[in-house]
Amino acid sequence: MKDDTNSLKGKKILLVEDDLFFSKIIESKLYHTGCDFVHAKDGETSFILLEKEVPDVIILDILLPGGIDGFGVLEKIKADEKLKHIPVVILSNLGQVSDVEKGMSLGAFRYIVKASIIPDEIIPHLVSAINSTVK
Amino acid sequence: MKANLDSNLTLVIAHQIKNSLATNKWTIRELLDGSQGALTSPQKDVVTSIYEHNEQIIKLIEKIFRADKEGSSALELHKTSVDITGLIQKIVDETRTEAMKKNLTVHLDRPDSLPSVYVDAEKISYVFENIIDNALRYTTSGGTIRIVIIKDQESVVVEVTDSGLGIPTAEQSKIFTKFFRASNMAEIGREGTGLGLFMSKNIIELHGGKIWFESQEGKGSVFRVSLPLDKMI
Repeated sequence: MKDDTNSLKGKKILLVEDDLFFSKIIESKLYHTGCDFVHAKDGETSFILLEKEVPDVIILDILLPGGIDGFGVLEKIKADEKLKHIPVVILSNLGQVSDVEKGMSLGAFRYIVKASIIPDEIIPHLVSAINSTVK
Repeated sequence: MKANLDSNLTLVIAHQIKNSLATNKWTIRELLDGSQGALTSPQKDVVTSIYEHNEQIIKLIEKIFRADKEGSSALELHKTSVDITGLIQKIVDETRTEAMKKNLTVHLDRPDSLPSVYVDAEKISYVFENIIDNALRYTTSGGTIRIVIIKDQESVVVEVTDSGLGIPTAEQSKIFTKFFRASNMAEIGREGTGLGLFMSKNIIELHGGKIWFESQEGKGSVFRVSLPLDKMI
Protein backbone atom coordinates (compact mmCIF):
# COMPACT_ATOMS: atom_id res chain seq x y z
CA MET A 1 0.00 0.00 0.00
CA LYS A 2 2.90 2.38 0.73
CA ASP A 3 4.28 1.80 -2.77
CA ASP A 4 0.82 2.48 -4.19
CA THR A 5 0.61 5.70 -2.23
CA ASN A 6 4.00 6.87 -3.51
CA SER A 7 3.04 6.11 -7.09
CA LEU A 8 0.25 8.66 -6.93
CA LYS A 9 2.29 11.46 -5.37
CA GLY A 10 2.08 14.59 -7.50
CA LYS A 11 -0.23 12.96 -10.03
CA LYS A 12 -3.32 14.81 -11.13
CA ILE A 13 -6.53 12.80 -10.76
CA LEU A 14 -9.87 13.95 -12.15
CA LEU A 15 -13.01 12.39 -10.68
CA VAL A 16 -16.24 12.80 -12.67
CA GLU A 17 -18.98 11.85 -10.21
CA ASP A 18 -22.32 13.44 -9.35
CA ASP A 19 -22.80 11.60 -6.05
CA LEU A 20 -21.17 13.72 -3.35
CA PHE A 21 -21.02 10.79 -0.94
CA PHE A 22 -18.82 8.73 -3.27
CA SER A 23 -16.70 11.71 -4.27
CA LYS A 24 -16.02 12.61 -0.62
CA ILE A 25 -14.92 9.08 0.25
CA ILE A 26 -12.68 8.86 -2.82
CA GLU A 27 -11.17 12.25 -2.01
CA SER A 28 -10.50 11.11 1.57
CA LYS A 29 -8.80 7.92 0.33
CA LEU A 30 -6.61 9.92 -2.06
CA TYR A 31 -5.79 12.68 0.42
CA HIS A 32 -2.85 10.80 1.95
CA THR A 33 -1.34 9.84 -1.41
CA GLY A 34 -0.20 13.38 -2.15
CA CYS A 35 -1.99 13.48 -5.48
CA ASP A 36 -3.68 16.53 -6.90
CA PHE A 37 -7.41 15.79 -6.76
CA VAL A 38 -9.98 17.56 -8.94
CA HIS A 39 -13.69 16.87 -8.99
CA ALA A 40 -16.32 17.46 -11.66
CA LYS A 41 -19.95 16.81 -10.82
CA ASP A 42 -21.05 16.22 -14.42
CA GLY A 43 -19.75 15.67 -17.95
CA GLU A 44 -19.92 19.30 -19.05
CA THR A 45 -17.88 20.45 -16.04
CA SER A 46 -15.28 17.76 -16.72
CA PHE A 47 -14.56 19.26 -20.15
CA ILE A 48 -14.20 22.76 -18.67
CA LEU A 49 -11.57 21.32 -16.29
CA LEU A 50 -9.89 19.30 -19.05
CA GLU A 51 -9.49 22.49 -21.08
CA LYS A 52 -7.47 24.00 -18.22
CA GLU A 53 -5.26 21.05 -17.34
CA VAL A 54 -4.68 17.47 -18.52
CA PRO A 55 -4.86 14.92 -15.67
CA ASP A 56 -2.80 11.72 -15.36
CA VAL A 57 -5.87 9.57 -14.82
CA ILE A 58 -9.65 10.02 -14.88
CA ILE A 59 -12.18 8.23 -12.67
CA LEU A 60 -15.49 8.33 -14.50
CA ASP A 61 -19.04 7.55 -13.38
CA ILE A 62 -21.54 6.59 -16.11
CA LEU A 63 -24.90 7.89 -14.93
CA LEU A 64 -24.31 11.63 -14.83
CA PRO A 65 -26.74 14.54 -14.79
CA GLY A 66 -26.92 16.88 -17.79
CA GLY A 67 -26.69 16.27 -21.49
CA ILE A 68 -23.78 13.84 -21.59
CA ASP A 69 -23.33 10.58 -19.70
CA GLY A 70 -20.09 8.83 -18.85
CA PHE A 71 -20.03 6.85 -22.10
CA GLY A 72 -20.38 10.13 -24.00
CA VAL A 73 -17.58 11.70 -21.96
CA LEU A 74 -15.33 8.72 -22.66
CA GLU A 75 -16.12 8.81 -26.36
CA LYS A 76 -15.19 12.52 -26.56
CA ILE A 77 -11.98 12.02 -24.59
CA LYS A 78 -10.84 9.17 -26.84
CA ALA A 79 -11.63 11.26 -29.96
CA ASP A 80 -9.49 14.18 -28.71
CA GLU A 81 -5.82 14.08 -29.71
CA LYS A 82 -4.76 15.98 -26.56
CA LEU A 83 -6.73 13.74 -24.19
CA LYS A 84 -6.94 10.28 -25.69
CA HIS A 85 -3.77 9.02 -23.97
CA ILE A 86 -5.28 9.54 -20.49
CA PRO A 87 -6.28 6.23 -18.87
CA VAL A 88 -9.94 6.26 -17.81
CA VAL A 89 -11.13 4.09 -14.94
CA ILE A 90 -14.91 3.71 -15.01
CA LEU A 91 -16.49 3.51 -11.55
CA SER A 92 -20.19 2.90 -11.89
CA ASN A 93 -23.12 1.00 -10.52
CA LEU A 94 -24.06 -0.15 -14.01
CA GLY A 95 -22.59 -3.61 -14.01
CA GLN A 96 -24.25 -5.65 -16.71
CA VAL A 97 -21.99 -7.37 -19.22
CA SER A 98 -23.24 -5.09 -21.99
CA ASP A 99 -22.29 -1.99 -19.93
CA VAL A 100 -18.80 -3.32 -19.24
CA GLU A 101 -18.32 -4.30 -22.88
CA LYS A 102 -19.44 -0.86 -24.04
CA GLY A 103 -17.09 0.93 -21.63
CA MET A 104 -14.13 -1.22 -22.59
CA SER A 105 -14.85 -0.97 -26.32
CA LEU A 106 -14.91 2.82 -26.00
CA GLY A 107 -11.38 2.66 -24.60
CA ALA A 108 -11.69 2.54 -20.81
CA PHE A 109 -8.60 1.24 -19.02
CA ARG A 110 -10.73 -0.60 -16.46
CA TYR A 111 -14.41 -0.96 -15.56
CA ILE A 112 -15.21 -1.19 -11.84
CA VAL A 113 -18.66 -1.72 -10.33
CA LYS A 114 -19.05 0.33 -7.13
CA ALA A 115 -20.89 -2.35 -5.20
CA SER A 116 -18.19 -4.91 -5.95
CA ILE A 117 -15.29 -3.10 -4.27
CA ILE A 118 -14.44 -1.38 -1.02
CA PRO A 119 -13.07 2.20 -1.03
CA ASP A 120 -9.41 1.26 -0.39
CA GLU A 121 -9.38 -0.95 -3.48
CA ILE A 122 -9.60 2.05 -5.81
CA ILE A 123 -5.99 3.08 -5.27
CA PRO A 124 -4.34 -0.02 -6.84
CA HIS A 125 -6.53 0.44 -9.92
CA LEU A 126 -5.36 4.05 -10.26
CA VAL A 127 -1.74 3.01 -9.83
CA SER A 128 -2.14 0.38 -12.58
CA ALA A 129 -3.74 2.99 -14.82
CA ILE A 130 -0.89 5.44 -14.31
CA ASN A 131 1.76 2.73 -14.72
CA SER A 132 0.14 1.71 -17.99
CA THR A 133 1.14 5.04 -19.48
CA VAL A 134 4.78 4.84 -18.36
CA LYS A 135 6.91 4.00 -21.36
CA MET B 1 -45.58 -3.97 -24.05
CA LYS B 2 -46.79 -4.01 -20.45
CA ALA B 3 -44.35 -6.80 -19.63
CA ASN B 4 -41.53 -4.64 -21.00
CA LEU B 5 -42.66 -1.66 -18.94
CA ASP B 6 -42.89 -3.80 -15.81
CA SER B 7 -39.47 -5.22 -16.50
CA ASN B 8 -37.95 -1.77 -17.10
CA LEU B 9 -39.55 -0.41 -13.95
CA THR B 10 -38.16 -3.35 -11.98
CA LEU B 11 -34.70 -2.65 -13.39
CA VAL B 12 -34.88 1.06 -12.55
CA ILE B 13 -35.93 0.29 -8.98
CA ALA B 14 -33.31 -2.45 -8.72
CA HIS B 15 -30.67 -0.01 -9.93
CA GLN B 16 -31.69 2.60 -7.34
CA ILE B 17 -31.60 -0.01 -4.60
CA LYS B 18 -28.18 -1.16 -5.77
CA ASN B 19 -26.88 2.39 -5.64
CA SER B 20 -28.09 2.72 -2.04
CA LEU B 21 -26.53 -0.63 -1.16
CA ALA B 22 -23.20 0.47 -2.63
CA THR B 23 -23.43 3.62 -0.49
CA ASN B 24 -24.13 1.45 2.55
CA LYS B 25 -21.23 -0.82 1.71
CA TRP B 26 -18.73 2.01 1.44
CA THR B 27 -20.05 3.69 4.62
CA ILE B 28 -19.98 0.51 6.68
CA ARG B 29 -16.52 -0.31 5.38
CA GLU B 30 -15.30 3.11 6.50
CA LEU B 31 -16.64 2.36 9.99
CA LEU B 32 -15.02 -1.08 10.05
CA ASP B 33 -11.69 0.31 8.87
CA GLY B 34 -11.71 2.78 11.75
CA SER B 35 -11.76 5.87 9.54
CA GLN B 36 -14.38 7.37 11.85
CA GLY B 37 -12.67 6.20 15.06
CA ALA B 38 -11.93 2.77 16.49
CA LEU B 39 -14.86 0.48 17.23
CA THR B 40 -15.08 -1.69 20.32
CA SER B 41 -15.08 -5.43 19.69
CA PRO B 42 -18.85 -5.85 20.22
CA GLN B 43 -19.51 -2.82 17.98
CA LYS B 44 -17.29 -4.34 15.32
CA ASP B 45 -19.27 -7.61 15.47
CA VAL B 46 -22.54 -5.78 14.97
CA VAL B 47 -21.20 -3.65 12.10
CA THR B 48 -19.65 -6.74 10.46
CA SER B 49 -23.03 -8.43 10.62
CA ILE B 50 -24.65 -5.41 8.93
CA TYR B 51 -21.92 -5.45 6.27
CA GLU B 52 -22.48 -9.15 5.51
CA HIS B 53 -26.24 -8.65 5.34
CA ASN B 54 -25.74 -5.77 2.91
CA GLU B 55 -23.53 -8.02 0.77
CA GLN B 56 -26.31 -10.63 0.63
CA ILE B 57 -28.79 -8.04 -0.60
CA ILE B 58 -26.31 -6.85 -3.26
CA LYS B 59 -26.13 -10.46 -4.50
CA LEU B 60 -29.92 -10.65 -4.61
CA ILE B 61 -30.12 -7.49 -6.69
CA GLU B 62 -27.47 -8.89 -9.05
CA LYS B 63 -29.72 -11.93 -9.46
CA ILE B 64 -32.64 -9.72 -10.47
CA PHE B 65 -30.47 -8.06 -13.12
CA ARG B 66 -29.25 -11.41 -14.38
CA ALA B 67 -32.71 -13.02 -14.33
CA ASP B 68 -34.10 -10.09 -16.32
CA LYS B 69 -31.28 -10.42 -18.80
CA GLU B 70 -31.79 -14.18 -19.14
CA GLY B 71 -35.54 -13.64 -19.49
CA SER B 72 -35.24 -11.02 -22.20
CA SER B 73 -32.65 -12.83 -24.24
CA ALA B 74 -33.43 -16.43 -23.40
CA LEU B 75 -33.61 -17.42 -27.05
CA GLU B 76 -30.15 -16.11 -27.79
CA LEU B 77 -27.66 -18.83 -26.95
CA HIS B 78 -24.02 -18.06 -27.56
CA LYS B 79 -22.62 -21.57 -27.68
CA THR B 80 -18.97 -22.43 -27.47
CA SER B 81 -17.00 -25.52 -26.59
CA VAL B 82 -17.01 -25.64 -22.77
CA ASP B 83 -15.16 -27.85 -20.28
CA ILE B 84 -18.14 -28.64 -18.06
CA THR B 85 -16.06 -30.16 -15.25
CA GLY B 86 -13.85 -27.07 -15.17
CA LEU B 87 -16.90 -24.83 -15.11
CA ILE B 88 -18.39 -26.70 -12.16
CA GLN B 89 -15.05 -26.94 -10.36
CA LYS B 90 -14.77 -23.13 -10.58
CA ILE B 91 -18.23 -22.67 -9.07
CA VAL B 92 -17.40 -25.14 -6.29
CA ASP B 93 -14.12 -23.33 -5.57
CA GLU B 94 -16.01 -20.04 -5.28
CA THR B 95 -18.38 -21.54 -2.70
CA ARG B 96 -15.62 -22.78 -0.37
CA THR B 97 -15.63 -19.72 1.88
CA GLU B 98 -19.40 -19.76 2.26
CA ALA B 99 -19.35 -23.52 2.92
CA MET B 100 -16.64 -23.15 5.57
CA LYS B 101 -18.59 -20.38 7.28
CA LYS B 102 -21.58 -22.69 7.54
CA ASN B 103 -19.48 -25.74 8.39
CA LEU B 104 -20.69 -27.58 5.29
CA THR B 105 -18.75 -30.25 3.44
CA VAL B 106 -18.74 -29.99 -0.35
CA HIS B 107 -17.60 -33.01 -2.42
CA LEU B 108 -17.09 -32.98 -6.16
CA ASP B 109 -16.78 -36.33 -7.97
CA ARG B 110 -15.70 -35.80 -11.55
CA PRO B 111 -14.67 -38.27 -14.23
CA ASP B 112 -11.04 -38.29 -15.33
CA SER B 113 -11.96 -37.12 -18.78
CA LEU B 114 -15.04 -35.75 -20.43
CA PRO B 115 -15.50 -34.26 -23.89
CA SER B 116 -16.25 -30.55 -24.06
CA VAL B 117 -19.90 -29.60 -24.19
CA TYR B 118 -21.26 -27.20 -26.78
CA VAL B 119 -23.25 -24.79 -24.59
CA ASP B 120 -23.70 -21.13 -23.65
CA ALA B 121 -21.14 -20.98 -20.83
CA GLU B 122 -22.62 -17.91 -19.13
CA LYS B 123 -26.14 -19.34 -19.03
CA ILE B 124 -25.03 -22.82 -17.96
CA SER B 125 -22.90 -21.25 -15.19
CA TYR B 126 -26.01 -19.38 -14.03
CA VAL B 127 -27.85 -22.73 -13.76
CA PHE B 128 -25.20 -24.50 -11.70
CA GLU B 129 -24.49 -21.45 -9.54
CA ASN B 130 -28.18 -21.42 -8.66
CA ILE B 131 -28.46 -25.12 -7.89
CA ILE B 132 -25.27 -25.19 -5.80
CA ASP B 133 -26.17 -21.90 -4.10
CA ASN B 134 -29.58 -23.33 -3.17
CA ALA B 135 -27.92 -26.44 -1.74
CA LEU B 136 -25.64 -24.26 0.41
CA ARG B 137 -28.44 -21.92 1.39
CA TYR B 138 -30.91 -24.56 2.52
CA THR B 139 -28.51 -26.97 4.21
CA THR B 140 -27.95 -26.34 7.88
CA SER B 141 -24.59 -26.33 9.66
CA GLY B 142 -22.69 -29.61 9.55
CA GLY B 143 -24.45 -30.84 6.39
CA THR B 144 -23.01 -32.25 3.19
CA ILE B 145 -23.34 -31.33 -0.46
CA ARG B 146 -22.20 -33.84 -3.05
CA ILE B 147 -21.80 -32.97 -6.72
CA VAL B 148 -21.32 -35.82 -9.15
CA ILE B 149 -20.66 -35.54 -12.87
CA ILE B 150 -21.54 -38.68 -14.83
CA LYS B 151 -21.25 -39.43 -18.53
CA ASP B 152 -23.58 -42.01 -19.97
CA GLN B 153 -24.22 -43.04 -23.55
CA GLU B 154 -26.55 -40.20 -24.42
CA SER B 155 -25.77 -37.39 -22.04
CA VAL B 156 -23.72 -35.81 -19.32
CA VAL B 157 -25.57 -35.69 -16.03
CA VAL B 158 -24.65 -33.38 -13.17
CA GLU B 159 -26.15 -34.40 -9.85
CA VAL B 160 -26.24 -32.07 -6.82
CA THR B 161 -27.29 -33.76 -3.59
CA ASP B 162 -27.75 -31.93 -0.31
CA SER B 163 -28.72 -32.94 3.20
CA GLY B 164 -30.85 -29.83 3.59
CA LEU B 165 -34.44 -28.96 4.37
CA GLY B 166 -36.00 -30.69 1.40
CA ILE B 167 -39.10 -29.48 -0.41
CA PRO B 168 -42.57 -30.25 1.00
CA THR B 169 -44.29 -32.90 -1.19
CA ALA B 170 -47.39 -30.77 -1.78
CA GLU B 171 -45.25 -27.95 -3.21
CA GLN B 172 -42.92 -29.97 -5.42
CA SER B 173 -44.96 -29.48 -8.59
CA LYS B 174 -44.47 -25.69 -8.31
CA ILE B 175 -40.72 -25.68 -7.81
CA PHE B 176 -39.91 -24.45 -11.34
CA THR B 177 -42.65 -21.79 -11.31
CA LYS B 178 -41.65 -18.12 -11.50
CA PHE B 179 -41.34 -16.44 -8.08
CA PHE B 180 -42.18 -19.65 -6.20
CA ARG B 181 -40.49 -20.11 -2.81
CA ALA B 182 -41.14 -23.20 -0.69
CA SER B 183 -42.89 -22.51 2.60
CA ASN B 184 -40.17 -24.11 4.72
CA MET B 185 -37.50 -21.88 3.08
CA ALA B 186 -39.39 -18.79 4.22
CA GLU B 187 -39.70 -20.23 7.74
CA ILE B 188 -35.95 -20.30 8.26
CA GLY B 189 -35.66 -16.74 6.98
CA ARG B 190 -33.54 -17.44 3.91
CA GLU B 191 -33.89 -14.88 1.15
CA GLY B 192 -34.58 -15.91 -2.39
CA THR B 193 -36.04 -14.41 -5.53
CA GLY B 194 -37.96 -17.45 -6.71
CA LEU B 195 -36.40 -16.90 -10.12
CA GLY B 196 -33.35 -19.16 -10.10
CA LEU B 197 -34.95 -22.54 -10.80
CA PHE B 198 -37.52 -21.02 -13.17
CA MET B 199 -34.72 -19.53 -15.26
CA SER B 200 -32.58 -22.66 -14.92
CA LYS B 201 -35.31 -24.86 -16.40
CA ASN B 202 -35.75 -22.48 -19.34
CA ILE B 203 -32.03 -22.42 -20.02
CA ILE B 204 -31.53 -26.19 -19.80
CA GLU B 205 -34.52 -26.91 -22.04
CA LEU B 206 -33.20 -24.40 -24.59
CA HIS B 207 -30.08 -26.54 -24.73
CA GLY B 208 -32.21 -29.63 -25.35
CA GLY B 209 -31.45 -30.92 -21.86
CA LYS B 210 -33.50 -31.81 -18.80
CA ILE B 211 -33.61 -30.72 -15.17
CA TRP B 212 -35.43 -32.71 -12.50
CA PHE B 213 -35.24 -33.46 -8.80
CA GLU B 214 -36.22 -35.73 -5.94
CA SER B 215 -36.75 -34.35 -2.49
CA GLN B 216 -37.85 -35.43 0.94
CA GLU B 217 -38.76 -32.83 3.51
CA GLY B 218 -36.31 -32.85 6.40
CA LYS B 219 -33.83 -35.12 4.59
CA GLY B 220 -32.65 -33.22 1.53
CA SER B 221 -32.86 -32.95 -2.22
CA VAL B 222 -31.07 -34.12 -5.30
CA PHE B 223 -31.19 -32.00 -8.44
CA ARG B 224 -30.09 -33.48 -11.75
CA VAL B 225 -29.26 -31.71 -14.99
CA SER B 226 -28.61 -33.59 -18.19
CA LEU B 227 -27.08 -32.14 -21.34
CA PRO B 228 -27.41 -34.30 -24.44
CA LEU B 229 -24.35 -35.86 -26.03
CA ASP B 230 -25.50 -34.94 -29.51
CA LYS B 231 -24.91 -31.30 -28.59
CA MET B 232 -21.27 -32.08 -27.97
CA ILE B 233 -18.33 -31.66 -30.28
